[in-house]
Amino acid sequence: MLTQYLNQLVGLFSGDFGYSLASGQSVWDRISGVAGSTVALAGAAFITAVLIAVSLVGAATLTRSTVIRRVLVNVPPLFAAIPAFWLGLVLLDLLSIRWGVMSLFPDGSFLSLAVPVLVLATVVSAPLAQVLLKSINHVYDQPFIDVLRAKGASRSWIFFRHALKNAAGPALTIMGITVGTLFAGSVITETVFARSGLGSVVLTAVTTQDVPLVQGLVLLTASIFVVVNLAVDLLYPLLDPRILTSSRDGAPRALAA
Amino acid sequence: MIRYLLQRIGQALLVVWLAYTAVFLAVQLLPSDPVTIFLTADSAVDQSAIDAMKSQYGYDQPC
Repeated sequence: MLTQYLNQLVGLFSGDFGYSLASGQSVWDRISGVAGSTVALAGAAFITAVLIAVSLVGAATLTRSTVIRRVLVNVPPLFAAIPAFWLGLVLLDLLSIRWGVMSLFPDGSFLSLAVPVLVLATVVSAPLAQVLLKSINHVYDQPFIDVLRAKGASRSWIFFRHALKNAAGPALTIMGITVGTLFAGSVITETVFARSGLGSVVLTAVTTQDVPLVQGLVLLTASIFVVVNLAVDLLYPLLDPRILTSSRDGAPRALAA
Repeated sequence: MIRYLLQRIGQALLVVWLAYTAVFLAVQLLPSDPVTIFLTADSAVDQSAIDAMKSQYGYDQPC
């Protein structure tokens, strides 16, 4: 066990990730050949999800109508309840089969990228919006918001310049965690929309029981997760400089005062 | 700041290493080995072919 383990570990450090049992191709070639398409999908979906979450929360906070606010506040739980594959299949049925505005297979057109991105973003935006809404409400309960109001700052100025920055901490934590959801979701989305990418590689690796390839994919996923969470940890001090000065053990304290 | 940074990077590397080790151990715990599972998935295969592929992929190393 030790010899195999050490061989594999040494291989990893020299950039040798092993060879796929099914194709004989090196795991690195197999993964890097298709990773670009998945990273593009996941990246675009992530940015869209952040935009959806911020605009939902912004609209819900800034609107003066209680009815609109109540409706908007209930949108994130609805998004969280929608499975990605269902939304993808429904959109595919409507757009390509009934209305014929989109190709069933990815053809490089704008819609064939935008629809999968939107499906993935909807699912990912839900926890983001829920957490952001909670922490925005918390920030609005604090006295400095009253001071800003008393000084005559406009509602949107208070929201974008002051409340959003103070509420961003918990949302940032969730962003790190949603990366897992993002990659699990892109496997499903890619399968539904017949896109090539990591999704199809994961699917074939698991169904053909190609162990070295699965090992490589696990390593890749773990690395992405770790890198993103590292980035999140490094962003905390930028949002709230108190983290660096107040915690000796490196654990960020709760942002809520 | 540097201390915080190094601490975080160290933790990150530790997580990746642990994840890989866990996967390796899970594969070892299988009653068979990856090559045999892969080759005999849908049909019976000659033992010599299994052995040849095992040595090619390094699964014949002492366990």
